Amino acid sequence: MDRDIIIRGLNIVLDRYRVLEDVSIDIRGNELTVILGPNGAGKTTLIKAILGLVKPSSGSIKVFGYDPFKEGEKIRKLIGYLPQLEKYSYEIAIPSIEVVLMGLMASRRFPRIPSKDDVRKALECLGRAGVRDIAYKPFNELSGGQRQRVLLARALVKEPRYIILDEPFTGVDVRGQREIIECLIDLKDDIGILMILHDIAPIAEHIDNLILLNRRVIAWGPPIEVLTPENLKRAYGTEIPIIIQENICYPLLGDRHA
Amino acid sequence: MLDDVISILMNPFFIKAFIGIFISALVAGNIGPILTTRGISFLTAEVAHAVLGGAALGIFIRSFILSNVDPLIIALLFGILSGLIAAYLGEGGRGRFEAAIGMSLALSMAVAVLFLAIIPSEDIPLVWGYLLGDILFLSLNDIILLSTSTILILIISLLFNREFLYIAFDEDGAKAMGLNTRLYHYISIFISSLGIVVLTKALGSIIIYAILIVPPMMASMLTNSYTRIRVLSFLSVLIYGIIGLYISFLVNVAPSGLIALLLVSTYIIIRLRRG
Repeated sequence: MDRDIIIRGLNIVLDRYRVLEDVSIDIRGNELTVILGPNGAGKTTLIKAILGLVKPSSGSIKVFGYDPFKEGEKIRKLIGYLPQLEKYSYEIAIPSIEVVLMGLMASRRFPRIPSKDDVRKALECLGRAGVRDIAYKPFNELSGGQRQRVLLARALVKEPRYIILDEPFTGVDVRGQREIIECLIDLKDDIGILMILHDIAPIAEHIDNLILLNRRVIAWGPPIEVLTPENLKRAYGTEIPIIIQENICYPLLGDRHA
Repeated sequence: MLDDVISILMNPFFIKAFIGIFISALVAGNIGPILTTRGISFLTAEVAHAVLGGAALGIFIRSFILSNVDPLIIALLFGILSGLIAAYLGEGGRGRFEAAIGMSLALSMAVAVLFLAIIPSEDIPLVWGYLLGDILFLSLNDIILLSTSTILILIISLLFNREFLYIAFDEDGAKAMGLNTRLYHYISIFISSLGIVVLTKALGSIIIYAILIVPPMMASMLTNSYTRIRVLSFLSVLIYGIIGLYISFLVNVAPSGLIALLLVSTYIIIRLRRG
């Protein structure tokens, strides 16, 4: 099995605070990998390092064989990224299709004027994400689930090999979560998926690999092996009850963003 | 009655001031929404104060070094430089940008204090002129310089409209997708600083907040389309500017104060009526 992301001995210090310590993991393509951990565990920093947005203090990261910090432009074409919903500005109304076109235009050279073909492609990706009907609705008027799927279309329009999602279920109701998961499962055959989650319950049965993180990697591998009471206690600093149903492990992480 | 109106409108002071108001409205309509949607409106206060330091420096240079230099050009360059310095010091987070703006403001006020002590005392009122603006006393040179700057602002903001929208909407995502967000951040700081200098010269540093920030705030209560916010901001500065100017000719009050008063009170009335 090919390994798309290889991280060895990664340390990241931000503002003199050690955010990540000696992280070594392999993430394979065409799988669904989840990074789980408490607040302040360095989850977002880890994916920013994979995307080349944060400089490693020491250690190495290889993404499709490239160093993301030094060869960022090479991996940016291959990875779609969905920042947390709270990171966007909702003060201005941007039509959904314009958000999707951003996925094509941002990596182009100036002047960034979409062609008819670009618009067709954007509409097609909105269709793949199941939200073609809201192409001309402003992004800030959509529900959380719709927003997330428009952003998924924005990632897809680049035809990426990998998609990285930061907390895709935060601020999304249960129905919206199901719709996002359906989209992701359809994509999984062609595209590798890496996501940060606070709570794996909505998607537990589909996870291939789980990385339990709290500044260090506590454990990584298939969820059933990672989610032991000992590992969860090491990650969260307290006992976490677990429910096991049909060989799928559901830790009861009451911790949700307000 | 009609004759009175026409005599005011045909007054050469009024005509020049009208050009100043029109330029200010164009600048405010383009820069204000950039500042408010990106949450960096504090830059306004910083650059407006830097203009005072720059004007003092400019008068110093004219008095002691190069007698044919226009202090306005020095004020313009100094304002832009201080905006870019704040942007550089503030790299790496919104909180840090605010602190950097504070530092940059202190730096330019220190420059102002220093040169105010050195320049000939009869020139000091020229520096304080920037507090209230020179809308009624713009020289032909001023108008040429302000118009050129405004045209530059319009061209840049039209050319990079999409890029500015992207960094306002989702800076992290834009960067991850390969956009040179740092470059466009600096370009937007550059035209914002240039615009703030133009407005400071025309209407003064004291009321610049009202001119830049209130119109997009009012517009965003009516619409959230970026283009419409810009058009409405332009129109509100233009209309209130003309009204303020007209009243100032009747009652002999500084027009910039009147314009600010009208804008802010309209905003408050809208807010009160909306509850």
